Amino acid sequence: MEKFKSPSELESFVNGLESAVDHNKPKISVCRGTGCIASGASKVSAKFTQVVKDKNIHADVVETGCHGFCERGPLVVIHPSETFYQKVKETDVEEILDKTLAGGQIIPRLQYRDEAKIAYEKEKEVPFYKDQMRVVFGMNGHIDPTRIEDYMSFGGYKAFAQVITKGNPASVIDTVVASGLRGRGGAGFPAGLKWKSTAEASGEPKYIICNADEGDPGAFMDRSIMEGNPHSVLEGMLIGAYAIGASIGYIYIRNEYPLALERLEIALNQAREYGLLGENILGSGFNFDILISRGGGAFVCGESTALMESIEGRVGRPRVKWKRTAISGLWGKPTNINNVETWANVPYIFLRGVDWYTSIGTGDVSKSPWNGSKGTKIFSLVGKVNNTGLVEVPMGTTLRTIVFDIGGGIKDSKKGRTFKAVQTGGPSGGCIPSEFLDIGVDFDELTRLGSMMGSGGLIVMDDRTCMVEVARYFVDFLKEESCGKCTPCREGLRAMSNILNRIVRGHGRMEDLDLLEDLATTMVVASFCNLGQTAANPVLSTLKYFRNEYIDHIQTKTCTARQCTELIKFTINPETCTGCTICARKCPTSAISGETKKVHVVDQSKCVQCGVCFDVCNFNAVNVLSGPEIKDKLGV
Amino acid sequence: MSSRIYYIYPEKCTGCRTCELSCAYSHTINGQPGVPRIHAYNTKPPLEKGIPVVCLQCDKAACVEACPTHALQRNMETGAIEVNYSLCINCHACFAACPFGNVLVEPITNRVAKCDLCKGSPKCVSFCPTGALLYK
Amino acid sequence: MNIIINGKDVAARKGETVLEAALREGYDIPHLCYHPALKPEGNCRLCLVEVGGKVTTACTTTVRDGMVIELDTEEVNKHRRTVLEMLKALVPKSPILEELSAKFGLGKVRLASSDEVCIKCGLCVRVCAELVGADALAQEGRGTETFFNPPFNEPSPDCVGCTACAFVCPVQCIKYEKTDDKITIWGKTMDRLRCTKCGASLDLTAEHMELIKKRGTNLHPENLNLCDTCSRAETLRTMKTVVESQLTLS
Repeated sequence: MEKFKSPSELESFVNGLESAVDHNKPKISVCRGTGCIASGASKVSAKFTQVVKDKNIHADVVETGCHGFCERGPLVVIHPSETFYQKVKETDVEEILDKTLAGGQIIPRLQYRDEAKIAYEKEKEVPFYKDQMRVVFGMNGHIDPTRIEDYMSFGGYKAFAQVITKGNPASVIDTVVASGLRGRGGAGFPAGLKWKSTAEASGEPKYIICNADEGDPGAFMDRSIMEGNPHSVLEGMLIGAYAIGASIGYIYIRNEYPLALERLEIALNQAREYGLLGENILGSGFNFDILISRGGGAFVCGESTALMESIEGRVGRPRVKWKRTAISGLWGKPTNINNVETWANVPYIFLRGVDWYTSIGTGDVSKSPWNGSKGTKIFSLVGKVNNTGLVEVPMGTTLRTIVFDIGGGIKDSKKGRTFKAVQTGGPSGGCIPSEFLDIGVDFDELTRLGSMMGSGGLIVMDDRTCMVEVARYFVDFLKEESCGKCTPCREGLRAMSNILNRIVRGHGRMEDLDLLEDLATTMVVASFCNLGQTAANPVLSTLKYFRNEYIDHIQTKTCTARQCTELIKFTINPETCTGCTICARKCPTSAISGETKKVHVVDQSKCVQCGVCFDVCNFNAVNVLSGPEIKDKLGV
Repeated sequence: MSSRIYYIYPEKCTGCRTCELSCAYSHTINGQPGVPRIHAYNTKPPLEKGIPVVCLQCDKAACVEACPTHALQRNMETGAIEVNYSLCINCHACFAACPFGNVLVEPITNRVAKCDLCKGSPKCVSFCPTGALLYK
Repeated sequence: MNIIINGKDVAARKGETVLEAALREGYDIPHLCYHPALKPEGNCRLCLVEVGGKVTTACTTTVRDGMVIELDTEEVNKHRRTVLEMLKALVPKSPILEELSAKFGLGKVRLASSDEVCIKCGLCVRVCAELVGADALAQEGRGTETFFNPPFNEPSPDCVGCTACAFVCPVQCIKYEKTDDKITIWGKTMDRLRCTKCGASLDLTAEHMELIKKRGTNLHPENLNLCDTCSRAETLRTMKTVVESQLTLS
């Protein structure tokens, strides 16, 4: 492989690859993101490759990164017809090749069907994808992340070549400022302003860091970007390093992401072989290389100063910022930290232009990037929705669109489940109730509602989700992840955890609510780092929007969501029970007795409130009692 | 550097140890006398007299060099090397370093103590009945 | 430069923190993890003040000319009390916390008590590593399971028995035992040095002497390992006037 000696050489190479792509050639794209691999995608793709080779079929098999619709994996898309198949098994491969690829027939069994059983043929028609705007994920379904040429055939590294050709780092920063790009890691600080202060700071060398320590439970967008399109991150970092004048870049990635790590390492080596990293890049005199630093999986290491401590080889605990990171960061040198998704946005701003970028999203950033949220945002949509996975939507898309159109609405809505809240921003975010479903999701709106964008986790909760239990879960998570440095975070979380555990067990006191508020407000104000300052959000937001649930737990020992096991009892309604015996067979503690076609009874002394009977009953005959109902109906 | 110097005239010393007493009472701890920073040695017969020994406030002081917290600093007005107790971590490195035995350990508090020239008016000088000590 | 504390102009030095300026000027701000010989870490969060209307810690805020600082607003006291309450729940029997509670009007602690002795401020670790230079202590665990120990909670080969950690501990929870010839701290027992002349035991260990040397301190060979009395006497014996007049010290 020859190293490129000038930007024009790189650009013409990329142009050559782009025009060489035969868009009519059949292509089978098999998702090999972590989700689909877990569902068996490796076998499917291997089978495709083998059969295509054996039968000498005129088609390419591409093992791509994550397509986003992880719930329905393994996913296969047949191009150019864009036929979308879900839950594909190894045994379906030959049939797909014979019928769909050769015969143009659809295999109904593999099609996606929504709740109303309507089948969809093409990927872009599927409701999950229809309202999405896939920019950062745009190439994910098309390219093989382990081939740099695939990335280039979609215009990859062209933006970098053009930036080098122009040779004006300051104008690069101006472009990023004008684009309104704000950090996707959580705080939403305008990336361009950050780059500017690092570029203007004195000190050599300068560093840039890619924060890939994605730790929010349920969030995996950064992982999917790195697994599916690692070169977009590298190109973003290259452009950033050139603009800032950085000579060393770090990717701080958590060790729990072995696939992302592997693909990044492959990508780095390919970039080095092409001379896109190293000395005198593209003959411009610009020297830059990227190193990988692996984190040990501490949540707090996503905090920028703790992350730098960790890279420097110390325990990952936040440190005092006497000066801004832009002036004195890694090893006391000017440093710029951005999150994976932020870096991955950069190439598209240059490739498609600022005007295009600012046309997406909210606000008007022509005066200041603080005045809006531009571009798209990837959310990890999980919880009680029909379609879970990664969704990329323009900033400002309403929660309703995300949850009900893309997400396909609440799971088991036929059984009467309804939307209650959506939790955004990971453990440090907050819960947003249904009255705010029509707000457009962007940085400022979420903060205004007492939550935050965070890295983009969206956990949907239905009426069977107890909000006190939600707060307890997140507080316990954060208690485990607090580094222990400062008093409010360490002791505040310990105390909150005690109180919330007490409330969900039915031992709460009304004074606890004031106490929770006191602890929470002090944690917000007095904690050392952002982890502690935002750790109280789950408590504050649930207290704000769902205070009644707290009061019910305390005063009447009622869990309205019927979730807190110590406050509920399961009974079987004799009028609706058909004696089908399924509950008795599934009960793990054999607490249910009854003969076939006769009413079943729960033995309360054996019942452990696992809820299996409720889930399996097809006749809605299992009732969950809580609070005074227990005494009324069971007499205990 | 202070222009004032502490003089000792051993020939005038009778070994009465009034200096020690005045020092102990000018460095009291909760009303109890502190460890005297000055010591008047008595010589054996035939010539019975005294020799006062006290911190020399060395120009290049070993105690200052040994202190890891820079708690020992020279007071430029008096010329005395003083212990800044808010910086001191009581590690006794100064005690170990002084080659003349002039950094002491206060037995009541276990803290280090040394002559501070009573912030410019040394009591040992004012109480010496024979003029063996002088500070000017 | 000048800063404004509680409405009064106060002189401040460039680069110092609000806490340093306020303490020097005689203002009282409660603090536990701050030590003037160390760079502030901002761990205990007790030194809360209002800077320009925003509550923050005084020890990690660098002064700026004209900075407006309020020490005792209702907001500051409220958060200070809650932090104190958290600390008192953690360490219920500490005289210094009692004293601060009385001062800031903290009543009964509403939180479940942990019955620990250490407030986890980390001062011991920092003093040992950054000032003494022994680096014999470490923070173990994280979050609520944070403990301060020698690594692995085993007697550390690096501990020199200087007891500076115990000395700086704001709640005095580091215990050591000193006998006439031994000192025991953090599970490690070391011999106390003895005066090579009179045999009195010194507040030093051989390990500590080694460390002082290792720090680059130029120890003068004369009178090493002597008690103060013997050291002074030895000095006198070598002095010209004494030698010439053939005095013998009693």
